[in-house]
Amino acid sequence: MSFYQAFTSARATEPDPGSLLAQLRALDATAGVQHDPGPNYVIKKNSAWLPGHITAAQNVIDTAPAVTAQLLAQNEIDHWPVATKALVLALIDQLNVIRAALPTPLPPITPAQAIQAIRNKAGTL
Amino acid sequence: MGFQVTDASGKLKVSVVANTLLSNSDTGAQNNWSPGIGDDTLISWSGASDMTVTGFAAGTSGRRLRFINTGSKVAYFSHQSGSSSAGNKLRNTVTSSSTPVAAGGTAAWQYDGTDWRLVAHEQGALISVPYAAGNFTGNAAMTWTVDAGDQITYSYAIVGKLIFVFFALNTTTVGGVVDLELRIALPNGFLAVSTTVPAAIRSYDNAVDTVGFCGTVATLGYIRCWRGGFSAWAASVNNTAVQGLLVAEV
Repeated sequence: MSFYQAFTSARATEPDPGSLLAQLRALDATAGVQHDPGPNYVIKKNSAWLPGHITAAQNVIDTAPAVTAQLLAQNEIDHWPVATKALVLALIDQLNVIRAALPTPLPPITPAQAIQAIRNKAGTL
Repeated sequence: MGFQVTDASGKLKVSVVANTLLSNSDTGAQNNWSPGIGDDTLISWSGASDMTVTGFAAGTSGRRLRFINTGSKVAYFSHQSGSSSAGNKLRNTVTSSSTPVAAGGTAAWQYDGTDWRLVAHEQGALISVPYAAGNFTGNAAMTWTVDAGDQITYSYAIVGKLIFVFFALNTTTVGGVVDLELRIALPNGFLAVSTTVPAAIRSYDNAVDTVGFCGTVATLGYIRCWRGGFSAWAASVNNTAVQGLLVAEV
């Protein structure tokens, strides 16, 4: 079964789509968003909407961070295609070879650390 | 009834035909439709529900029939249907399914001695396709579940031999063995004439928003939608969308 709930938000900015979805999915893992720029939202999920769900979802819609170039970039990094990940991680592999060969070897950078560092950098640009 | 005057060489000098103006509200299947067709007839139709006409009776060479939809339902006109008698059949521009005339639309046929030949057609309003779960499938063992509330837009217009299909399907679910194609039925049973060059669509693939592509396959009745990069769609729950416009010959 699918259940839809319409929302209207008075917020003055568009929410970051990645953040909005993540926060709604924290409330319900089956949440999906129907939204075009503007005040109207429809949220779909696979269980019935109860008053508490509606209040929580309305709060997420009203308070999710506004879209920015940095957040969009982080969302893009989170969903990089395989080719881009391969490029980055191959370079990290080579960097780790050098780090291990230093007079005082440094520990390897893990793939997760590398991606997180890029993500963090995007957030600061 | 009309009459013609010709000179000794057979050249037409005078032609007089009577105009027939009809109002009609027939619905349902109409075989060998006979609403009172004269030599030059204009039918203003406003049925309370849709109508499907498979042929016109009373064809004589040169007769003209014009049809205007003044209502809100859709009149469909079948191409070479076996449900009407030989000599009463329609020869339309689109041959794989019936030609629709929606609200505000017009069409005209002229009898060529064998068939009623479509000589003009303007569909009028876009036709919204009623929701049916079976209109949406995945290729091979992939499943695609589009619920009624996910169908934001699914409408079409016929222009000449082209179909324009507008679609926006949001918060849909992909499951099974994920694969390459999400498929949308071509409306009204139309079949594609050719395998089309892909057109750009928005493909929202489990939170990955990219430019995807859609197209048709010759002789088949669906639109195939690929995500950006032509890789498999991701499994998702209420988190896949495709939005776009397809133009294809049918």
